[in-house]
Amino acid sequence: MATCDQLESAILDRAAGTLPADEAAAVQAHLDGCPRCRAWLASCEEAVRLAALREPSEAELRIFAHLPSRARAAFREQAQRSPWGRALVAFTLGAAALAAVLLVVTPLRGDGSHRSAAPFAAAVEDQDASELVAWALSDPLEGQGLDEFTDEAVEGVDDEAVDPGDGSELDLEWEQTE
Amino acid sequence: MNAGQRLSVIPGGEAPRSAPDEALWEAALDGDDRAFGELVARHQALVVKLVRRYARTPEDARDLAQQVFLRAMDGWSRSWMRFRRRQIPFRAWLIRVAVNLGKNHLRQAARWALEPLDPEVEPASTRPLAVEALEEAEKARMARALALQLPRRQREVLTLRIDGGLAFEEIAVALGITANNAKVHYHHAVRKLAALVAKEG
Repeated sequence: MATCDQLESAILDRAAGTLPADEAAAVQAHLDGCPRCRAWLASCEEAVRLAALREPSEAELRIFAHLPSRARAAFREQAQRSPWGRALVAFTLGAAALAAVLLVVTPLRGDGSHRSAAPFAAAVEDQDASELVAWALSDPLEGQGLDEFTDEAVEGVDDEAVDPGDGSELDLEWEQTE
Repeated sequence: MNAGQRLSVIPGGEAPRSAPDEALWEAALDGDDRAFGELVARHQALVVKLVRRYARTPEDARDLAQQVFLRAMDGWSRSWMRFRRRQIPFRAWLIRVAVNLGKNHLRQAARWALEPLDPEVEPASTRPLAVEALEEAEKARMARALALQLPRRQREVLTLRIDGGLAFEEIAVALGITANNAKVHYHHAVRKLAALVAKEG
């Protein structure tokens, strides 16, 4: 019979709602006979429940409903103000003028093989992608005195290694800049 | 339409709702604000869920979510041509930007210590709350504050899981870790959070 320590991970899976079906019976059998583990499971579930946010109210949902229209407006405004936006306008006007002069109608290609560089990408400053990745993978809260509990080494976990048993191959060169 | 096909920019038309994210994104990069709007509509629920924890009010959450989409596009445009063959899924990139902008918002507001950054604060009610309800609300407030004090990876995985309802596999892609690692971080986060809540409570 499995011990409490051996089932700790499975009990946490149950608290997370990810316990495999074939393990559910064994975990439940243990819980039925172990008040300590039952109490611990209850404390884990309560901690998650307390930390979770409640569902948005109707008033909040009405506010969030405006997001797409507001975001689109901001997108248009940003495009007009930004260097790539101005380049896009210039590119569009130039392309229209060229087409009018040459009277060329180019059908859109379905396979994208003749896709020219997107105006945004062509006109945008060629920022070092590693800077962008570094930002995305950084922790803005680091060094703010907020990490009362330091990042401990989690046994058996290596974030930088791909678990061959996972079957997932992360072909993401940019990830390694972390 | 597959990801390799270019989405037509049709002035005055509507972005195809069945187009994959990457096709819409490319159209948005070409200046199609309707495609951008479709992306927002498609993913706004998730983004709002992820940033609510870091916002002070619903309006704050809405504006923060808007920043997420704009920032995600800005970053994408810079790396698109270089990494298009090895891009992460758009949704995973969006999640990553949401996580970081949320944390940036928290840091800039510098209000975490007092935890007024509490999206659970309801408008004042004229009805007095029962003692039990007040105690429950205080415990929840404390738990949410403690969640933000967890070590980085535990915090990220926990909030993506309980706020976004994301599977460990999707969390793994967004954070650049394995699904197994994500699960272990979650276990540690819950274990620690349960201990802290019991200690403080």
